[in-house]
Amino acid sequence: MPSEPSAPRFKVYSSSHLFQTQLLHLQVTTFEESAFIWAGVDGNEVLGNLAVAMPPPTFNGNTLSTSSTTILTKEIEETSKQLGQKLASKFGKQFFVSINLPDQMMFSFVEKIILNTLKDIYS
Amino acid sequence: MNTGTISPEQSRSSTKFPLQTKQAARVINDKILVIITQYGKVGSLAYVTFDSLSSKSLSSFSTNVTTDVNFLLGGFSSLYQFYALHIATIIANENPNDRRSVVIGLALKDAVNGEDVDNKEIINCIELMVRECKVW
Repeated sequence: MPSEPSAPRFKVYSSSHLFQTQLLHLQVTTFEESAFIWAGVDGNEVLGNLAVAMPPPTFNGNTLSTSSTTILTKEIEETSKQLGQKLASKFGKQFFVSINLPDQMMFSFVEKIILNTLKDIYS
Repeated sequence: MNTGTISPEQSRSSTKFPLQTKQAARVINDKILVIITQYGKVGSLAYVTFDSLSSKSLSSFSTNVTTDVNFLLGGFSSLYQFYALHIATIIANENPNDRRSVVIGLALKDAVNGEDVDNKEIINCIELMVRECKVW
């Protein structure tokens, strides 16, 4: 039975964090059963490395693996894609992820914040 | 942390049709993100870029500028292609010195209560909302 559309409700959760000397911005926008996550560095706010991940489907009682792909990127980096996959698997929703951070340490720092933010949103 | 809904000047909703059509625009330095949805979801994603050309070249809606529409996710219909192009052109005309590419999310209904949607009314409604929602 196809699902019925419901009244759209957007919510935006923005926060800024200091990592060593760099100011980082994070924005989570929630939609119906999906979310858009953006993270970037102050002064270089770009929408790059965009990836989308779908929640894992269930087939014959078995949960299959999560699907994700990059949809707008100039680099071969897959940070957004991997994070999207993790989030879709954990929260069971569609995630659009755009992580625009220069190094892995910064990303690990932001990833924890994203997870905590989403836990608060979806609790 | 700031939480809550998008500020009024950045979102619009129309109740002209039985269901609300909500739009949100978010401006980042290198792109403009616009989501127009009747399903509460992002939907199909189109990426529209602008190229400035000499005055002798052929152009679409605007003079001296051509647009290139690429679908990043879903929506390979000519109708959505038209909607994306139209929305991007409106944004370009509203802000002529800015040639940031536009990422447009579209999730629109084909029919409401069993009746086909009038595409002309939809595009007029979308045009009105985009013009009102100035975040650029």
